[in-house]
Amino acid sequence: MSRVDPESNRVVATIKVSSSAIEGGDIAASDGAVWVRVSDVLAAKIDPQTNKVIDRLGPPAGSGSVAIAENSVWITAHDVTSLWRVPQP
Amino acid sequence: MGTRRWSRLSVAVMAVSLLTACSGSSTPSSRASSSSQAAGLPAERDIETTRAMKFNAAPSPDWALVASGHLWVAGVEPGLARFDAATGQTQGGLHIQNVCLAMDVGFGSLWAASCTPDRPMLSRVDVNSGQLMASVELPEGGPAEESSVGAGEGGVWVLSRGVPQHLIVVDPSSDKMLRSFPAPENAAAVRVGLGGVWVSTTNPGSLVRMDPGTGRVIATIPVGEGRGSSH
Repeated sequence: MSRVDPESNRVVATIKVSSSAIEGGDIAASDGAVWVRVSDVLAAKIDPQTNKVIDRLGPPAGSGSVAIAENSVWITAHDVTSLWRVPQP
Repeated sequence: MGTRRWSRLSVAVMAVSLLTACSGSSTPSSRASSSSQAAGLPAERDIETTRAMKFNAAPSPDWALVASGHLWVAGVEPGLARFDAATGQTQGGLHIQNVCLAMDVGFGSLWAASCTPDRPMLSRVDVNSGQLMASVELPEGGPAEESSVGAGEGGVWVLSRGVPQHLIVVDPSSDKMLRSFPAPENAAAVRVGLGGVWVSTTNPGSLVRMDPGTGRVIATIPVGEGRGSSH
């Protein structure tokens, strides 16, 4: 994951989010968290204050999407016909 | 909490070098766990051991987006399904099929592009009522699969399929195609916001910033592993 400063058009952080190539993916960003739909697990959560991965939810289930709602994050996995709602602090 | 993808983040644009491709395969959990530790990543938590709730979503839940308290999921009956984003209660949906790229929200609407071969379409949905507002026919060839829609900066932006690729701009005031610009080579996906049109490319991985008014390339930013400061 690359974080780009739109003022300077420069990469200000490169964050390793997965142990392997992302075969299918998605990004959802809010002020408090950035979620990435990855392949080696289900999804990884980044703290935008530190630019570090702070949570990884599994097990892997192919590709899908991720969306952020108030107090929760939603994850899809079409290979296993699944939709999850994960409460967030 | 702001919930829009990419452009809502106040100070930065984020990109992954392999953006928006929903057609991968699974990796064995044990292998993922050991390799993630080797990569310095946090240990995997099994989602079933969290307070997560699992919902029925058939036949193929794929692209998801939250807007105005509703969760929209493509690939779920009746095509583009709507749920209460707080509870997961089903709220019906629309007969919009073959949504094959990420959706976006802008101009009071959700925008979803379909890759139906003989009738590629951009659907506009009222985020509050959930009603279909317009169906905009896209040029022959349709949108690039596994890419994205970008809504904002004066239009709704869709990356075309094939070579050469174009960025198609739909006017939200008329729901008609306004113009198109040449897309960067090997374009993968598009998002808009923060004063720019942002196109990710593969081979090499980069993020190309374009002027929304002219389509001129303002910057080509190499992204991915080995670029910028690492964490």
